[in-house]
Amino acid sequence: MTSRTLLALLTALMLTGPSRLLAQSSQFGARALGLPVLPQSVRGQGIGGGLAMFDAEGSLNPASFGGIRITTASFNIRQYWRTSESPFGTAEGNDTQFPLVIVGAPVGRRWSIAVSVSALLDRTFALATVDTVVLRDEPVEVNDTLTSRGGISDARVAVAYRVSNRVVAGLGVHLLTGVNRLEYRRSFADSNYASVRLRNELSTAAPGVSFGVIAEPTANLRLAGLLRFDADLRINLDSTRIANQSMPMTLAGGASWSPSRRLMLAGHVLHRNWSVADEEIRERGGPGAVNTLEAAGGVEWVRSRTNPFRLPIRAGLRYAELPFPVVEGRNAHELSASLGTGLRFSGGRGSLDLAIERAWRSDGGAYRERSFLFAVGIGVRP
Amino acid sequence: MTRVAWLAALVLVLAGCEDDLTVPGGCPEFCPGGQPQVRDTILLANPGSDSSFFGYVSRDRIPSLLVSDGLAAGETRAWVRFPGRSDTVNVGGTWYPYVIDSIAVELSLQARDTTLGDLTLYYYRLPADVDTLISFDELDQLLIESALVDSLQIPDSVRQGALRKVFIGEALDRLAVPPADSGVLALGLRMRAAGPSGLRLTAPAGGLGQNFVTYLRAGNEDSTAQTITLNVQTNGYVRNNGDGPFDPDLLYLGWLPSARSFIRFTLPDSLLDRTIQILRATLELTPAAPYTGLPGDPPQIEVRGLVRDLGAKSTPSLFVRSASTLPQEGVDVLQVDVRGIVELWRLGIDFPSTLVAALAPEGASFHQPVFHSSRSAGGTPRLRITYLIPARVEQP
Repeated sequence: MTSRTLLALLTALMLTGPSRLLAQSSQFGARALGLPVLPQSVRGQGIGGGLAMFDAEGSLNPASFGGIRITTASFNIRQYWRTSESPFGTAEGNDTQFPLVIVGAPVGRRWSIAVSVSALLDRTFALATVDTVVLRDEPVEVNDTLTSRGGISDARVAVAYRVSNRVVAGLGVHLLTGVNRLEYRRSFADSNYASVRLRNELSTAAPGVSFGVIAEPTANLRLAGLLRFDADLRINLDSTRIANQSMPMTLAGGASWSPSRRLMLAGHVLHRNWSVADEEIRERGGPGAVNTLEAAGGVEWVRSRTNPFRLPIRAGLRYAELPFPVVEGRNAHELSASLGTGLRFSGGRGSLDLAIERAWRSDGGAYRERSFLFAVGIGVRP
Repeated sequence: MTRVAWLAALVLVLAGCEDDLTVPGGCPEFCPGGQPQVRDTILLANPGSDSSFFGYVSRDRIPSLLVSDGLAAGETRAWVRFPGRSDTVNVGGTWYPYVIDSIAVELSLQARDTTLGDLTLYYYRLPADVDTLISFDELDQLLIESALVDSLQIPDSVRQGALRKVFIGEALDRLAVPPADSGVLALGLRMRAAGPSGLRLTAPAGGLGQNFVTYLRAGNEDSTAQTITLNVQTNGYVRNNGDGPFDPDLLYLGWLPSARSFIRFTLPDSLLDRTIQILRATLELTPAAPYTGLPGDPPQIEVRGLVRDLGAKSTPSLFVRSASTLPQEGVDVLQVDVRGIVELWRLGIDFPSTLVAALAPEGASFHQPVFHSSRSAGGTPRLRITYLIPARVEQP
């Protein structure tokens, strides 16, 4: 099987395969467009997201895979366990997600191409509410459940061009697409009232484009930059256009420094002007949106100089502001700490990366969440 | 290879985990798109379009016999008539006269007032030509001491089931059938209890039969023992307060011959909108007289929709019915949930928005409810609909 054949097969798999290409469920994803997701590999996750701008198996920066020399396909599996707290109670939950599939291949000496599908915003949640309403002059207890599955995925075709031995530039063409299936159920303690079950399907679509660059000014220092624009998101309810949603511009910069052959430090800062969506979200009754800044940094320590892919130790921290507050005026954020490792086998043709992450989310008030993540990344290099 | 196996196992374990997404929520913070609104509306019956029709269950098709004594709901008496019994029996191809050893009359108890004891059923001999034309007064005058055959004490523990009375000795003489009656035996029934009460007996149309069993010995040399069992031929009951007069401006359910009431509504366009969800639809009927019947034996009000509205002979829908138990007493508004029927009206198929109400068991209840109609000064039949307008949860 040639590299091109494999690439075609995996691309087809991505387009027809996992439907739950999402990140984690969270109460902080219940408002507006949901919870933002950083499209990174499990290796990058182990470094706390610090490697995202340089991550050849991530899809943030279209220049990041410019250095690959062999066709590479990888996908991630993430298992979350979380505890959510709010004024309405505390609950524990878990979910399994598949947030990233990517295939990249070199084309000639200078070009590379990558196709990826990743989660951009996750709107998977289930909210259970107990309330009492007055029906026919009598108080009746009601149980409401609003379940949402889906979100917005980012399908990207990107090309990277090696300008010189020290500079790689990339261009990504994006299609934001997603399906959000909502189900609302209401049951009444008084069985004389019929239960309610409503289903809606929300679909979204928008094109986008991203430009990225990675430069290596010195032998052990790499710098990266990213600029991304997305057109207005078209939101359809069961094939009927209900809204056009402005999407933010993304601006990011990163650095990677390797003081020795066994140690690498990497980090990035990313900004999105989500406030462009604020007014439209408020007009639809939402709590608005705020600009966000995130910063991540981490380290990878190679234990064996002769076999750098054998169980390196990775660690990192990431802080990110969340664009959609649960309560208007209370901006939420998340802080996560990660550890990871990995190995290659079968002569380097297969790879397995593992990461664990502890995350804390809060809006500074009564809404808090703690989550634990276990991620597995599988890579194939035929 | 071992690594690949471990990898495969890990992937399977993770992929097989079951999601548990639910967290507690509340509004407005966790109600994206707002809360659904619940509204209540009352539709009055179309003026002048509600009416009652009689004759759905006739006197010879009743499912039960009613017998009472001093009951406020009404005095009732019942009768049964068996077909003619042959005066010979066949033994070995030869017909012989016979000698009666005993006779059993089998009836079946459907309901009684279980709060009262000392329930006794009395059997009276009636003329063989008794039929459904007999009036209450006529039958009551026949149930006199001289016609009494015997009685059956019904134990307090018996609430339903077979009532078997065996007649022997002198009672047999009172059950002798003269040749002029062609072997036909007719019995009248009345009852007594520790207080005003009543009971309901199964009539053949309602299921179990009533039997007249004769145990005899044939007049041959061996006096062969035989049994003649005759199922009831006809039966009925009469009551002292069931013949009207009937006010055309009121709605009647039950009675005998039985009445059904047709009530018509017009559903507004706002309720025909398929996006709204009907939570409850209740037909409310205001009684024009206090409910009264046999304690512990309330009938049900059955309400159906119609396939076609052709007046009294309309075809009721067989698949969707609603029912509610009639209050034992009082003057409370009767409520019957008819959401399933109203949903039929919203289907867009040409179902008429008409409800037909009937009593069950029809033609066999001590209750004879009467309700106000749209022509009454007050208490017009109404349809109370509680519905939900969904929130715009679909919009982020």
